[in-house]
Amino acid sequence: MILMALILGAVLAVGVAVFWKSIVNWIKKAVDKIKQVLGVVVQGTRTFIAKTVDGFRNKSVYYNENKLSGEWEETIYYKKANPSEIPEDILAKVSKQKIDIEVSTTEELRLVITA
Amino acid sequence: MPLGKRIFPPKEPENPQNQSQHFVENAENAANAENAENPKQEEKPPQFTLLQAEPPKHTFDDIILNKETLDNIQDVLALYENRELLFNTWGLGERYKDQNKAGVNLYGHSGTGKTMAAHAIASQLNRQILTVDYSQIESKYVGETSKNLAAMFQHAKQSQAIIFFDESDALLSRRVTNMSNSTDVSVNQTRSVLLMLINDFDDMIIFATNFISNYDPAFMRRILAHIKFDLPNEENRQKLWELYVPKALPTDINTAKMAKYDNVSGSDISNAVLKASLRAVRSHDTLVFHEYFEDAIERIIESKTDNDDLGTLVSKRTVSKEYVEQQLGGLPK
Repeated sequence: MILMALILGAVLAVGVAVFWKSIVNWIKKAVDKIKQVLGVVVQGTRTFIAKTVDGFRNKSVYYNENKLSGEWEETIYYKKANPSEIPEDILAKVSKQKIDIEVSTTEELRLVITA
Repeated sequence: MPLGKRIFPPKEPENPQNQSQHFVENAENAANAENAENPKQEEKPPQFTLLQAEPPKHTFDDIILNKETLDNIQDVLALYENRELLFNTWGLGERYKDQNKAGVNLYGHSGTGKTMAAHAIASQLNRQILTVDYSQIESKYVGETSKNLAAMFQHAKQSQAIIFFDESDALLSRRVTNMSNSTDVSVNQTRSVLLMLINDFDDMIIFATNFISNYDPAFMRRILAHIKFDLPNEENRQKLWELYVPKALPTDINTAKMAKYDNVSGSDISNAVLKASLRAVRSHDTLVFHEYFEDAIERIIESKTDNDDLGTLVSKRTVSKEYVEQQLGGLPK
């Protein structure tokens, strides 16, 4: 699990790949948007990458508990990924997969932001 | 024969009194239609509503689609309505076994009328429609998803309802590698079960998605027709403005001018009409001024541009606590 506090407070070290910086910024933006539109605070996230028919696609999934209803909610965003920015190991892993088969990048992201 | 004309009478539901709504406590019960009528079950509050076959809410008279989209839909309907003649009487089934499938995939931008079209298809076929509710099928009963799906297909068969997978990429794509938990394994198993169920189902299934590229190719092969829903052209945008601005609304709107705003969907136009009307009410105006509509549609276009930078919101749904726990490896504090 990646707690949102880790993401929101993340100050990435110099040299961290553009890909991860872009993911962190994207997540921060999505969390803000979810808070603004839905009025809820995101509590956890997972990230994935997949090869698609027209390139690569990042996916971020957000979880929050709705304090009013007591129910849990899941929100999913997709965004195109620039192949030149994808770290080599991730690119190699996802390139081997068939179209639309998702590869989790959650653990890699956690390692990057806690380094 | 004119398109859409039925040459075979519609099948009568086996259990018409009970087709409109089934409350199901669990998939085992759902799989048994006789149990669904058991009065004892009605005494218990239902845990969730899995199966809801309902009369279609729209007809093709309610929708403004471009000609190509409408023609494609009518082609599929003609094929479906005449499939007994084509594939059995005329023997085309010997050579075109897979073509006898009646999976139809409606894809394209959000707000372009896919859901309404699904209802209109059901309406033209004089059938009820059973809309798949993912949060019930997939989230709350992780591990029982396959049973729920099987029960749903069985219910559709018994009630002669058309199955409608709205936002179907949620269920038809998401195979995961690097499976990190039992949910990922379960998701992949569900895909396989769903493939088998679709294969064995010989009636109409409608899929709708904003993201056709997310579909698993295995599902793509099992769908007879993919019909694209484009954003409306200027002519249709004007028709949409005229459709969504009620006759009783006091306004000086120039719909021809409003139709010049490009890259907007029917849903955007509907929202703009509402926003403009609300603004007039708040301002105590006696007229919904044309400029209010322009401001509203411009804001909507601007908001869509912002969202492009954010990526695309694919889905938002309610899920169970257990599901979140499995996804995140524990509940966040």
